[in-house]
Amino acid sequence: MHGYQVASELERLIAGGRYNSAQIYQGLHTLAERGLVVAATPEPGPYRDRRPFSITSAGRREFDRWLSAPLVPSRPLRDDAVIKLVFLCRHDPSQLIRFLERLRRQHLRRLAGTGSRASALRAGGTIDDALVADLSGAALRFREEAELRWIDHCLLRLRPVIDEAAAEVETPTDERGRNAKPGREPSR
Amino acid sequence: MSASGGGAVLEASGLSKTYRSRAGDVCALRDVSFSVEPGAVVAVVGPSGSGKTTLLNLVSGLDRPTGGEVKILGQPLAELDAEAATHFRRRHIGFVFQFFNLIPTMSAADNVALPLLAEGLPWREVDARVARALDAVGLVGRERRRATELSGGEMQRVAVARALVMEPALVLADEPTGNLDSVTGDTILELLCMASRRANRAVLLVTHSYMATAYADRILVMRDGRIVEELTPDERSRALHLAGGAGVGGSRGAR
Repeated sequence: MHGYQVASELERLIAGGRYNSAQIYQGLHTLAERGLVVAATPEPGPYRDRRPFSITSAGRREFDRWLSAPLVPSRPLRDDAVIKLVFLCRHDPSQLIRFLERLRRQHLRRLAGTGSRASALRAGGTIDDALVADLSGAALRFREEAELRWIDHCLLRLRPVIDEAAAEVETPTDERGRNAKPGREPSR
Repeated sequence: MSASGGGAVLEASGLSKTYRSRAGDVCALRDVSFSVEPGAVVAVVGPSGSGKTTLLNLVSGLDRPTGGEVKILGQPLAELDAEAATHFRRRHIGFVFQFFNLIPTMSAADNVALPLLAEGLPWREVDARVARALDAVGLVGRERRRATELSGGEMQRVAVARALVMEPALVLADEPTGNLDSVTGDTILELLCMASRRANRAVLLVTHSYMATAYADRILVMRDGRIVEELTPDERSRALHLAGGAGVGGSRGAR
């Protein structure tokens, strides 16, 4: 397989992924230096810059080791949105709602872009490429749904607090001397 | 393209589907032909295993036939690649499912907004269309409720709003009342069929129950992968009367 083939296979099977073949070639060369893959001579012709690689037996062993190794969940809370939220809460609460609502719209659009696939039931019970692509697409969709759930949760918790603070600053009391709370409709 | 143009919205001709399995080939659909005109509600009724779901998957382009052709608004589905087919489906076909298929953690309004966002409509238009769609199904005041906070009937109303929000030429409904009590189910059918008829949309309704065909103009009876009979609403009423309101198994239409 050459780098371009690797990139297009990954794009076909892993939803939302974009891979450039230069990066893939760089990776393949690193693996070749470690003896995990070996490069062959490209065939002459229009695609002579597409150098095919194949896996070595050391590469196969390393690959099997990697597949069976336990997975360490990546970056638990190094999420930009969470960090921004923390800073906005401390330094600029007036921006919070606008920030979350903008973020919410971005995620809604991204979720829509992943497509809510109503996949057909497949007869024969085989794991075909369409099913693989569907499962990797589901990973994207469910992550977007989780983001949206978090944002909605933040908005639900923050809106009353911020509305109350705003009411106290802008209109401390109404004519009858009670605290005025604007009955604000939640917006999207 | 619009639903009001001349000609059928949906044309299926000579549709066949054979599944390969370890146990051998299974013929799920044999030579099925029919069409659905703008503003018409056509019901496909048959027991489970009669080929209804296969038929629905083929006419929606989710699956490819082994023989025959599906045209929607004159466009043969087989000519579209996967990406074009997805876009075409989103633009021209609305879906209503038995189990609603809403995103449970999201609000009614957000669920309805998704098809519009997928097509890249600007927010102002998305907001306006979602409000209209939810109004049309009687859910004003429930827009911000999460799907899980709604009753079954309300969830299916949201699903109907989602199916109609793109103003599709064709609505495909797969057992839309299968998970609802009969009164709620009837309300949903009335909502779906009447709204579609008013807007000159075509509806293909797939069900195992004759009760769910109350609003259909034509009823296609399926058995063993074939259309074995076509009933008018009058014939349906007689069949229902004879069968005492039973489902497919006990009625004259399927036997």
